[in-house]
Amino acid sequence: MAETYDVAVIGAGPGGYIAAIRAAQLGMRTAVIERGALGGVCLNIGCIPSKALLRNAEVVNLARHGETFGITYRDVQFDMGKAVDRSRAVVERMVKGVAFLLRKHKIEVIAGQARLTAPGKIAIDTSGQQVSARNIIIATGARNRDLPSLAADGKAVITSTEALALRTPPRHIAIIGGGAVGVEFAYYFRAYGSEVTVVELLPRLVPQEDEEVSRHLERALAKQGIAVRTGAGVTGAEHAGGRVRLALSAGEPVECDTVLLGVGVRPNSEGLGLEALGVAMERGNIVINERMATNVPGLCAIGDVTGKLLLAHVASAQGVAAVEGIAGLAPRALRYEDMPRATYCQPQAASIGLTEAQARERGYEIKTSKAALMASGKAVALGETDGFVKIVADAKTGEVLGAHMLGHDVSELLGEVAVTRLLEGTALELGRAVHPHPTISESLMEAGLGIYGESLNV
Amino acid sequence: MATDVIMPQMGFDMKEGTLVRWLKREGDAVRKGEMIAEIETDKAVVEIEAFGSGVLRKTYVGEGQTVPVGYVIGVIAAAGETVGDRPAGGAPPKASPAHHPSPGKGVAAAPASGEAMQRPQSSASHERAGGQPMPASGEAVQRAQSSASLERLKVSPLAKREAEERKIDLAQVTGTGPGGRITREDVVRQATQAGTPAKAGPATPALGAATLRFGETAPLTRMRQAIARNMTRSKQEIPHVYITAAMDMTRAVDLRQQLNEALGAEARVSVNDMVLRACALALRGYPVFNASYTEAGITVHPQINIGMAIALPDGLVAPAILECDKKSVAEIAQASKVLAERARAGRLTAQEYTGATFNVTNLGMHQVESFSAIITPPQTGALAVGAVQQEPVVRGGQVQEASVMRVTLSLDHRAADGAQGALFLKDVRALLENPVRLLL
Repeated sequence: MAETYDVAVIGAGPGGYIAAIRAAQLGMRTAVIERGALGGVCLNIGCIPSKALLRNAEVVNLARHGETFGITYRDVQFDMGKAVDRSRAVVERMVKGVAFLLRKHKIEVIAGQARLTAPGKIAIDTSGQQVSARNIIIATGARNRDLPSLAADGKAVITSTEALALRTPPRHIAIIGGGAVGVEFAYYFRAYGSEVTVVELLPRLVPQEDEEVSRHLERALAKQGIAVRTGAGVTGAEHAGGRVRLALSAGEPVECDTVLLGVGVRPNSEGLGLEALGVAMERGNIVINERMATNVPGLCAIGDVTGKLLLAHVASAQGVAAVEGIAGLAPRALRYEDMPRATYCQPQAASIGLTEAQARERGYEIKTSKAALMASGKAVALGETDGFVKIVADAKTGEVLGAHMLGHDVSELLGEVAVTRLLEGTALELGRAVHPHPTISESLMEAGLGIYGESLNV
Repeated sequence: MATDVIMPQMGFDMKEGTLVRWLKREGDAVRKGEMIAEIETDKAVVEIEAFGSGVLRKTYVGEGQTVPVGYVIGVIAAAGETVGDRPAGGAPPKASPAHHPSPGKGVAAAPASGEAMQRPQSSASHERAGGQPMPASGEAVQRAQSSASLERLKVSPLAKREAEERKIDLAQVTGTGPGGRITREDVVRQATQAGTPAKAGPATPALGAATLRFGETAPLTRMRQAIARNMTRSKQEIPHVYITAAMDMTRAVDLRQQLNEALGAEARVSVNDMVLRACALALRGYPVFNASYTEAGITVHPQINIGMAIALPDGLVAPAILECDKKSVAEIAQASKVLAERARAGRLTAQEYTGATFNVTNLGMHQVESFSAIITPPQTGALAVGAVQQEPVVRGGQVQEASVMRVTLSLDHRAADGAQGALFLKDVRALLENPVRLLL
């Protein structure tokens, strides 16, 4: 006998499990189908384990500069295997948390590979179970992509999944892709002593960020001893004697013993029976409207499989929007440009809204203001003075169009700007709100005041 | 100082209008720019605004009554000011044969009773404690009210700044944010509604576009009502004839490219701009399609004003490019861009909104090959324009690739016949196939 649910979610990543919880909260009978582990890529092989490893890297770097703090030791050991163990323990704990939340909301968790057989009908291929649901949300995510000239083999050429499990640092690792993933692993492996070369096709690292952030980050990473090769594409790879020789479109070839592919992902939209239902797709991404609905009635899609903005918190927000749409609540339109973005190496790169260049392209007359962390008492006390907070504001209204930050833990400041954007605050409110002293957040206040030429500590 | 409220002219062919509803009652304080009544023209129901501040002292026209353009339908004055029982110099309103107002309504409101006139005065002078006459101007009262309520207003900082920029009184803005908080969008909506002095309404309701949901009934916006009324009337009254013609746009597309290279990004010309120009020129030779049909005869309009259909979130408008035949292609391109922007912002003038004498509607951007339009009364023709598509054509015995566009003329068979329509299209085709003539 087939079960009938109000909502069935395929995929229990940060999009899917949040959608399921919101659906259950609104009184809907809800199931979530997962072929792998609860929590998806984010919890298991993405955001969470990598943040654990990056914390290790930060501690390692502090230890390496212990003298600054008057700490000296002999025979210091940095065991990367232990770092990996710690990250797995963190993952295990978070996955248990998701299982608990799903149980608490009485959400049915169905294990297996789902396939849509008809509108509202799902077959679980692995178990033969049939599931019926009035609404189906596809949240199947995405997986690492290969390069045309270079495919991952799990040994010399790896993806982030294998990189998270390496127990000893590679001697020389070449990281293809200078986006968030590539830069974070560069920082991590460099901290543990690898020689690291980052190869990026576009002219700068973290190319989606404001140009000033990219430039500053490149300098910061260079200071850590990371080699950066921008404007260079991989044109070929030769394996010889356990080493890989990468030919690049610009400059000398790179010789290394491990290659990490961080060149983006592709959507998990195959094998779900979507083609037979006539679900509209674009280059494998499921096409959705502002209510996350596909062209097939009763079928929504959220998260990486939609190719909109590949971030866990965006998937979660899409999940909530999809479910609220199903429940007939007033739609909360997602403004994708208001989605915060962060790269978690140290110094971190964090941004929200329009870059300076984007704001100009859209015809805004803008004012920008920058507060260097050098002037922040807290940053100096921490010994982390590298970086800045920059605000791009509409010259006419003071609207905070974007914030772009580089510095120690600055991703934590994004929430403040997100709230400012949501409440339609301006740079003036950012500047007038009294910020705690001493914190790095004061730099946001200074930058806000700076829009009006009223910075106090610059 | 007393300000008359008059029946506005919402288009060159508008002779009279019907008062649908008073939004303010006699004795209500009104502010300049506030909506005080709804009137109906033959094209739409439109809100009209007060041109002065004070108290709506008299309404001379009852709901449902039809009066000529320019007729004084009410008066706004200070509370103590003397106003007449009848509009100065105006003929008494007639009950139009087209609209049969209920006698009760029409009669009750028109002959102004002395009592109604007295009420605001007496309340003003007696209710004040010190016997001081109340500050007469409604504006002052309104100001006091708005500054008092401002303190209670929940408003986002950005909305506040936007309101300062646009000189919008926040007290007049309805907030849609959490707990009625005024957001920037609310201010922008209010600003576009306040619009131009001419205040051609129908663009406004588009901004309040209803959200359609499965299993629910959404109320009709005023624009939807107007479209429904006009299109039904057209299909009931006008015997439509449809004539489709294909034209070879290869040279027009080339010319457009050359023009755009020469003009630069700011002044880009679209295919539709060239079609507008071709239509305007062809209409000179076929006045019957730049006319209105009535039983009394066919009235040819003095100007060729081509309406350009613009899709809005909840409906469409067809604002006119005035004297389109006297404008160059580049001027038409400029005008159409400005009209589209203003239409979307709800800032069309009355003349633009209602002045079209012939409509052109284009779905080519959606790869539509051809379709037919419903004529907008009282026009006698409309042109529906399809996409420019690459197709094989035979030229001199050879199959070649050409850019082909199909247009369909809808014509009012009462006013004209199929052959005239065909000849008109022939002229349009000749112009577009030899597009250099468009530049002359």
